[in-house]
Amino acid sequence: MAEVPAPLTRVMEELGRLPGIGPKTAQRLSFYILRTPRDSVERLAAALVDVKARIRFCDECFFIAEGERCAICLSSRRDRAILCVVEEPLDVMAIERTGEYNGIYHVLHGALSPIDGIGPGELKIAELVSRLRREPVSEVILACDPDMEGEATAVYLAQQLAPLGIQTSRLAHGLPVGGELEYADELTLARAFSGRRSF
Amino acid sequence: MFLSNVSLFDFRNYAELDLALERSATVLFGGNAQGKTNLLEAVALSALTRSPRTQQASELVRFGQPAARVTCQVQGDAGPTELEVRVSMTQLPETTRATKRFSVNGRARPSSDMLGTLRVVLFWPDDLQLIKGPGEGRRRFLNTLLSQLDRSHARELNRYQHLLEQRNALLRAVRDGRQPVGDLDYWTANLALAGAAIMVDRQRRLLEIQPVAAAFHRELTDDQERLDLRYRPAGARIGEAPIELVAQQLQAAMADSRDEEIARGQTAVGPQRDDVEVWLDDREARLYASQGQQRTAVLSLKLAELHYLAEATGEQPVLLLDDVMSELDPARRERLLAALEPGPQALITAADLDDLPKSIVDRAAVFRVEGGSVHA
Repeated sequence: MAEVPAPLTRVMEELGRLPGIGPKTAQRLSFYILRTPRDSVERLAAALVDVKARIRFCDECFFIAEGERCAICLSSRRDRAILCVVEEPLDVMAIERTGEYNGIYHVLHGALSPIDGIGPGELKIAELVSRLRREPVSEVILACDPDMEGEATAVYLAQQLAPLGIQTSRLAHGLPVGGELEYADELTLARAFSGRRSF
Repeated sequence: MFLSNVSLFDFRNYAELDLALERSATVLFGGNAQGKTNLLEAVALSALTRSPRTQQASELVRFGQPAARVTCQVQGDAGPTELEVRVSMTQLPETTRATKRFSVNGRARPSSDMLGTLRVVLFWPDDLQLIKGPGEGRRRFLNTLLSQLDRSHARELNRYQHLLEQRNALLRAVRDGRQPVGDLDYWTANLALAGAAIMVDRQRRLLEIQPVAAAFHRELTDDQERLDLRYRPAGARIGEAPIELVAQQLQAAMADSRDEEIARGQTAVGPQRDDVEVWLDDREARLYASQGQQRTAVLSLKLAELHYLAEATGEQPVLLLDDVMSELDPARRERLLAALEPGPQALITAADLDDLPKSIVDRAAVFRVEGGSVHA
């Protein structure tokens, strides 16, 4: 077999480090880049360098930001009395798309998962507590994922926040809109029952 | 329900196979290491989502190939269903990882959705250790049976396993001083609840299976021996207790052995430590029964599994008999064959056609298995 030239090997290795990209995909992408016109490869490279140079995490809530503070923390139109805790920056974007929420956020950057070595110290929990001591927040919404790790994180946070005396709520569990009852798994259905509301 | 077709691609020693099956019996014969057991394993994998032979999914892929596929066509009352398992190998920098993916009628599904369409009872030489061997074998007997009866049991087992791994990792983190003891509370409470649900299920099903197994055993021993199954849940007394009460017991047991759990980095109680004792005439068979008595007891359990699964679901499961005929004496062999008479579909392997009774061979579709291919 012919030697693969070093520059190409390097691209394959770097791409192969990305999550969700195996060696086969890395090879395919590398050859795609080889065939792509020079200017569009340069645009990609510039975009990668630019995103690292210009985007960081907000000092306040740890959402993505262009400066020390993110657009949400800087906005004068947000309700600073309500704070929503999420696991990832993408969760903020998902909630923003609903247009239902006008409070501020706090991004934990993960969930408690002992298998992965993630304990409270690895998450932005101490930052959350000190923020709540400082700021006039009257309600905290825990919007962790409804899986075991998310539940563990929510339970832990509720314990940590209890001494602060701030009203704390958890997002409701229930049936997906547009779904069919018969396809829901038992746990979702059971929770939808226990969390039912009067009509 | 019956299995009408099995097709394999790069599975174990099969490059490619497409095999139509009869509604009654199929006999697969041939020398060792030609692929008889692999074919039964493929069917069990589709039915149970895991191989009864190995925990390492990578072993299922034909040597040097990137992926394996098993597809089973099942004809049921409500029409045909196609169950498919794909195992793909991913090359990581250090190791190779195998991932299993499942689909039902061509649509990707979680593993628990595969269960209950194709139900199987596997009987193979390893089962002869069911009584003498470690508790793991008896727990697998229960897990296989209960998961096929009820998908939510399979989901509970998966959930429990996940919680258990998290809690054990946390126990080690506490031991190494990386996390405080208080962080265990959430995982302990939830593990106890999930474990209790499994234990209550096991207790209920065992109470129903017990008389069936006892009846088969009476018949096999001409009324000479009484068989009893005794459930030994690890860390709880079940009785008639509701799940919440069992969970409390488990939590208390974990609290009692907390120091030991932290030192070992392992949860000390729960379904992963359960056992089922088999008693023959007031003696525990594992300790006191002769090899012959144990084989009879195994046969009673397997016949009970077949019978109970059929009764509880209203459908005959597919019987997978791997090379066991030669392990049984003529009397026990006759009794096993009698169970085949009214008609579960059966896939039977043997090294030699002479190992099987003529009555079976005469009415079965017979194939020779040789080097990963199957000939009429």
